[in-house]
This record gives sequence, C-alpha cells and structure tokens, in this order.
Amino acid sequence: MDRVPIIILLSIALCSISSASAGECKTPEGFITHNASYNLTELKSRVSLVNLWAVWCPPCLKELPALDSIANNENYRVETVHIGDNLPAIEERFSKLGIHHLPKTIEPDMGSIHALGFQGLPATLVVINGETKFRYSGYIKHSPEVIQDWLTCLREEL
Amino acid sequence: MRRQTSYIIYAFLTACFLSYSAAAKPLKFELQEHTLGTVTEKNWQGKFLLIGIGYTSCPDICPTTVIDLATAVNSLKEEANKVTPIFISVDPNRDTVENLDMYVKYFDPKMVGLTGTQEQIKAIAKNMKATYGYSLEGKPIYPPLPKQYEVYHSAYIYLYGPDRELIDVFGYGEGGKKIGQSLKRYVHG
Repeated sequence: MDRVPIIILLSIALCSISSASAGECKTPEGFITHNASYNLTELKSRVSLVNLWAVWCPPCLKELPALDSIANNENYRVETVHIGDNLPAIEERFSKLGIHHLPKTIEPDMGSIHALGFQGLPATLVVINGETKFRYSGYIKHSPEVIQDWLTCLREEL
Repeated sequence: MRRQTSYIIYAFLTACFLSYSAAAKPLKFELQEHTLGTVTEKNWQGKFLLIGIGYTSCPDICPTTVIDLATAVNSLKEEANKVTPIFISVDPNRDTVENLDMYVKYFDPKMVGLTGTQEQIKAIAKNMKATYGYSLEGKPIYPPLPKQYEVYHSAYIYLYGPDRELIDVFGYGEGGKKIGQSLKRYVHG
C-alpha cells in the first residue's frame, strides 16, 4: 500500500526531469519569448539569428563585428538584414569593420521595423523552423560566446 | 437676469482668452543647413513642413523618427513634393551640419537636416513646445558638455502649413504610413 505514493512521487519527478530537459537552454536576459511566423527573408538553417541593422545606426555598427565572430557555425546561421536599399554604403561599412561572414541582405521597406513590432534599431529575432521564437530590442549586451552557446543549445534541442 | 448676462459675458471672455493662450505659435526659427547655410521658417515657401527632432549618436537603440518622416512624405507619391521633411538635431555639440546632411540623406534625398547653436536650438524647441536635455549617469547636465553624455528629448512629429501655422502633431510610434494617411487629407485640403 505504501508503494503507491512512492510511485506517484517517482512519476512526478521523472516528468519534471523530462520537461526541464526539453527547455534547458537558458535564455539570455533581454531576449523575449515571442511566437509568430517569419517571412521577412528566406532562411537556410533550422535555427537562425536575424539581425536588422542600418548604416546610420551606431549601435548596429558596434554589434556587427560581434555577430560576425560567431557567424561561422554549422549549428545555426546569422542573417543580417539591412533596412533600406543602399548597397554601396553597406559594402563600405562591411569593409571598414572587417565583416566576412555576414550576408548583405537588403529589406528596402523601412516600415518593416514597425511591421515586426520594433520601435528602433538594432533589432534581433531568433527563428526556429520558420517561426520567430525570441526577440531582442536594441544593442545586444551579451558576449558573442553567450549567444553562440545559446543558439547551439537551441539547435541541439531540436 | 443681469447676473446671468454677466456670467455669459464672463464665460465668453474666458473661452476667448483660453483659446488664444492655448493656440500654438506659428513656426519661427533660425538654424543652419549644410548647403543652404542659415535658414528660417521662410525657406521652402509654399510647402508644408513635417518636422521631427532628435540626434544621430543613439547609444543602444536608434529611433525611427527619420524613417517615419521619409515614409510619411513618400506615401504621398506624386504630391510628395508638397511636403518638406525636416530633421532637427538637438545635439549640435556632436552633430555638425555636414554629418547631419549625410545622415538624413541615408533616408531620403529630399530630407533636410538642421541644427544650430545652443541658443538657436533652445529657441526652436521652445517655439515648438518640444523638450530636450543632456544627462550623464542619469543626472541632467548643461553645456559646456563633457566628451561622453546622453541626450533625451520629446519625440513628436509636427506638421506646419505653408503659412507656418501648426496643423497637427503625431506621437512617436504612430508609424510613417499612418502619418502619411493624415498628410494626404491635409495636402488635398
């Protein structure tokens, strides 16, 4: 008779362990959980960090080298989307900042910032299997390694 | 009856006074532009002016004020030339007219960037009932400014008519497309 509560307790413990392992990637502070479909650009990886930036935005330029340093990774892709059609200015900034691994994707519609629910730049989304799962507004204050480990963890969870 | 009449007259006079004092002042400024030099509200004759204020060296997040100005004006399509979009920097210490001109042209070749001396900025802010200031580590500071500081400011967008009377004020976050819809109504008259 006494075994029944023990079995129940063990079942609860096992359930909680399995649910913890399903979401064990610790979300870095400032990234907000957000569920929405993503259709701004075509993505080639199951886990993507999409960064919206512009040449006129100083914190965006400060952020690019950090993103470039973690972009060469087989677990995820870093997609940079410039808001505004200005390829010569993008190329000049990439050359000046020594950016080698980030794409020069352009979103000509500047209104897309508002359409995605952001009030400014930089703005970052984490997209998993075509769905936006996390969003971050402004300059990412975490080290590139923290972001790299988190994205790798999210990929391994799939 | 006499008392009632005097109340009516008093109420009428009060309403007149309040409407006069609440009315916004017509636009008046003297500022600097990269190629035009000194400009005033008399420049861009016959045009509506859509004006936003801000600064270019945003530290962690850059607002979309200039995007909203460009989007709103360009949504007018063939009537876009009826409205001149103007961005006024309240940080003349760091924003030179040259840098400001390069900055605003990233958004639209029609965009005008203006700034001036501290006195000129103070005067236009007062005229538009805009607010701005500088801070360091959360405390307000005043010119002469140190090397590092932050700028804070109100973020409305103002529409003035060709007669330089204030027509409408738009809140931050309304978005350029929505402001553009209002512009259409005013420009069509």
